Amino acid sequence: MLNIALPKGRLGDKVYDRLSRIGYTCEELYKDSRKLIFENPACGVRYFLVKPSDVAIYVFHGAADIGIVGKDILEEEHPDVYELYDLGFGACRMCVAGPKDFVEDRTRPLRVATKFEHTAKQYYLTQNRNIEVIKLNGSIEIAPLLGLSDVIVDIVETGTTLRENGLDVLEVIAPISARLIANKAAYRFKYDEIRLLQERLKEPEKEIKSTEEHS
Amino acid sequence: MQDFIRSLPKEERLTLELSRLYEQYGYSKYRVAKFEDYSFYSDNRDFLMSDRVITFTDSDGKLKALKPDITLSLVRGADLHAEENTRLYYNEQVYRTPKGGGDYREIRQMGLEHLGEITAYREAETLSLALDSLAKIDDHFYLVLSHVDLLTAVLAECGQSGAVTEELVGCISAKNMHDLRRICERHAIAPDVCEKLCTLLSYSGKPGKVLQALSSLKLNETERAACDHLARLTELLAVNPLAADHLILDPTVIGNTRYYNGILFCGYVEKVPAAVLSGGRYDRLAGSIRPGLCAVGFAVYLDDLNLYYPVTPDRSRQLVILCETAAEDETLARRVRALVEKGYCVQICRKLPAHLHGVTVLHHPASKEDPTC
Repeated sequence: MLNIALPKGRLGDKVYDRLSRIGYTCEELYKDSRKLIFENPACGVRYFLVKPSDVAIYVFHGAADIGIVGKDILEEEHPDVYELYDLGFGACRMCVAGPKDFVEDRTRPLRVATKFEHTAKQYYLTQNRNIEVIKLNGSIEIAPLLGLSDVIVDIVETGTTLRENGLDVLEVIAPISARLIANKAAYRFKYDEIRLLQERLKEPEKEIKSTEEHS
Repeated sequence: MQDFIRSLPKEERLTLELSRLYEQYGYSKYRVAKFEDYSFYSDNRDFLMSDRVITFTDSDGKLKALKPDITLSLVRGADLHAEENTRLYYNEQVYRTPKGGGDYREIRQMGLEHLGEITAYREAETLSLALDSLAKIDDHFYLVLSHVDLLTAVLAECGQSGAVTEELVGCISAKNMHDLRRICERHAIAPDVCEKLCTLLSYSGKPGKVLQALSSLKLNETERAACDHLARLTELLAVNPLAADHLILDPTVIGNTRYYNGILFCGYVEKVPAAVLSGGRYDRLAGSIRPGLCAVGFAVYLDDLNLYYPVTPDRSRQLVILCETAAEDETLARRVRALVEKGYCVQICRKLPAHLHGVTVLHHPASKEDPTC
């Protein structure tokens, strides 16, 4: 039985859709919105619906064998897990954004508002730039507008929210997408099951690609 | 006595069993002080898992540190004999933050160190003891073996700076082939070297199968020597029947390369979600403290074993005698002694404590129906 941590929400729906198409169905999933554990012994699978930022925690501690999580969370938390496959969807970018006409004052530390404290620190460390991180938990875009920060480090999908708040992408730090992760011990003991799922995940991707090529 | 040993918490039982095992192979117990001069750890910071240590000021004003690592202290303090190797084992506490962050923890670990001239035979004996140690924790276990030189030689072929190499190592240890390819592309690493890294990353399995797959790669002299060494070790390890089903070769096991050279290994048991054993050849560490010294060893992390292998107390041998204060007399003492000699565990209580529900309850003075009278 493979224990899979799925992120609740839009990404989780997409992931389940992909997994069910390759044979890991669990019909009762999402039927009862309050239930968080779903099992289909016939397919050898048990799903846990958890907060997206907690997926890696469940996997690292072995409560789940595998999970699907955004690369943004892996970059921020650095959990000691295997990152086996890039599912390609949920694609967006980790960016530095700020006012369109932003000119950096290099005589003082840059004030950076972000949810992704570690990611921001690491990025500016590679740029040899002193920063002062202002940790926020949401509505990051308004920080530069209110003078709380000079720039923000955040995930940008389409850029609409940024544009509507008079901000623009200044630098792209890294592309982000959903990743399949595995607990390092579970990988040893459920090697065949995990590898099979990993291989199957690649198959529909090929089908979709070939369909696109023909269209 | 065997019943008593079986009833002990997993960690305590394992401590006894591993001590016996290591002594059978000529290892002597070594005791390390709980703290050392802080300067010892700050001078050897590169070899520590975490650079955070608990410090305090001694009565003479010197800064001390609770030991975050055993091997450093052991290598410095061991009594070495030029003519013969030194084999030591320990059962100690270390104080450090766990892998992945968090608050300081007192971590109990047991391990062995083999110092001196380290031949393939002696490395194989260490690996064999690692297999035996894991088998004492659980029937379901794997020892995962790798060779530092194999990956470092391929990484050297990439010809990249420290920062890029670190990124590549991160991808390798996470089995992250997708980002590895992106890094190779971004830094114009030769496609054949990138493919070699990706191939190594995808290998994991029984030694024969992995070694055969490795032999089909275009390997340089260092890489070939590392593979030959792994092949020789697996031949020697065949003497231990556990190796056939429980030994895995996986080149992605890559630890602190400032610490380890040569073989590197870690062990997993089915119920624990992280490695419970890790070790390898560490001439770099040993040689930096005592020039020219070679060493191989491993540590078993005992800390979480009681959590994942709880021992259910044997209620059948537990008795509670309910007795009022006024009835506590010589007959009670004689009765308790007789029951203990019969192999029972006996407690005298006024009333039955909640945590002992389910045990056999007797009364004192005894009734005629009492089966133990």
